[in-house]
Amino acid sequence: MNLEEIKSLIDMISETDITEIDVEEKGVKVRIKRGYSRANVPVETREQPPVEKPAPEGEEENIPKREEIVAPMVGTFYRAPAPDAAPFVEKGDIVNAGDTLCIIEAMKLMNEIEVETRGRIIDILVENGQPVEYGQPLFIIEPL
Amino acid sequence: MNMNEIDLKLLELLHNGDFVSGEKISEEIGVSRTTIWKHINKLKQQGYQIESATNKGYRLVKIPDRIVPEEVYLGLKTDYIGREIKVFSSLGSTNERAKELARKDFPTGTVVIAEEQTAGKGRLGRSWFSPPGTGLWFSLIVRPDIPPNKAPFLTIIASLTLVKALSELNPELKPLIKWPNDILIDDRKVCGILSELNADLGMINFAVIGIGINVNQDYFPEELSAKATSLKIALNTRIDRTGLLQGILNFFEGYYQKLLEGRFKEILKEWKGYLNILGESVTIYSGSETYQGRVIDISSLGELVIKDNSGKVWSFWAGDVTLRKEEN
Repeated sequence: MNLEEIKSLIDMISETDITEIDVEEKGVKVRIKRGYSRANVPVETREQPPVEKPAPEGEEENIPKREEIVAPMVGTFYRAPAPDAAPFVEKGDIVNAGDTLCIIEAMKLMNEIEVETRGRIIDILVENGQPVEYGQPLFIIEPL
Repeated sequence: MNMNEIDLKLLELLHNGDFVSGEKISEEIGVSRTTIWKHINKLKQQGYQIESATNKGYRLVKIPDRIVPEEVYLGLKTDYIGREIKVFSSLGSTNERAKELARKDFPTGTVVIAEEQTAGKGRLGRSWFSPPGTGLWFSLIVRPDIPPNKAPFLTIIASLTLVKALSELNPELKPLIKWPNDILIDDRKVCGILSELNADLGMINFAVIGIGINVNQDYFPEELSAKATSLKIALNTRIDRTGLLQGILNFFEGYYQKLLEGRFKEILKEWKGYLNILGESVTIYSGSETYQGRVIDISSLGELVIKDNSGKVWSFWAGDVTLRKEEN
């Protein structure tokens, strides 16, 4: 496998959601791994939206609704506006519509993720400085 | 500063620097010669140097060394970029003000300029050396109808624009792009770009592209002098910021139009031609991780593709890149 073939392979996978690929040809093994693997992201620990639980009649108001805030683009997740600044939000905080929750950076393009409705931060799913994928859940909030 | 229609027409008539008779001006604008004289005096008070000579009329000798929107409009070849320019003597950051205006529905192409930035924003809150009047610090509002995952192309077209505008200013400058967004002259930083995006999953609401250019600084603080330069230092002459801004806005509209037309490959190919990093050994600091390797390519999305010492190939879209010097 020559450099050109490796290059075109990279181009090919960058158009997809694939983050890692192993190719073996004539005893030569190539592994391509994208810089933002999801391996460190604790997706499995996120709480499921309660829609799946059957709501007992008459108690709808007591069941907290959960909403996910997801990443609109690939990039690096930052919880604070600067390395030495306090995080935008902490778990348990009440946020208002328009408040900034985090920044996602890709190629010096900073995307401030804002919350659309008032709510409480139930969980923060990504560590500061970690890569995130398009559509990846970042926060769980409970609308108030 | 306020300019009315008469001032503007006066400037337009005098702009090529030739003498224009009071009589001709009076005819063209349709006001008396006394009125013209009053407006000439008003322009002089605003810093314009205007010579008057008997039988010859008026001649514009020098425009003030500050950005005046009306001056910029006169040299624009654009349809919509830079058609609304707001100049502030001092702002915390032009990006912050541009975001406020974008939320108030200011259109694509709106430019926010500050003669001084008191909280000039670099990446992740780093500050940018910006004493009043020496640099060109501005932000551009855009609302591109492209998918949010293509938004990093805004950084790409902004850096291409700067390279083109600087090359046009003086072909000797030979600017290069330090991936993904700094412009270097003689290996020193002369421009920085920091863009901010407001998007949801499906669409971009708006983006502001913040550009800082070191134009007429004579020196930099000691801790920056090895890393930063200005156009004046590079060319040994004072640079007209208005002309530079016009060039930038003119080039930007061309690339922005290509972006809207989805000509990503074409843009990327041109961009790659100015990168100083292809084939170089680099160390990449990404979050808490460090990677070392050689840059083998730029992906179709603009990511840096590096091959590390063990032959593994990685691509990066974020994080700081530091060029590691080759030991010879």
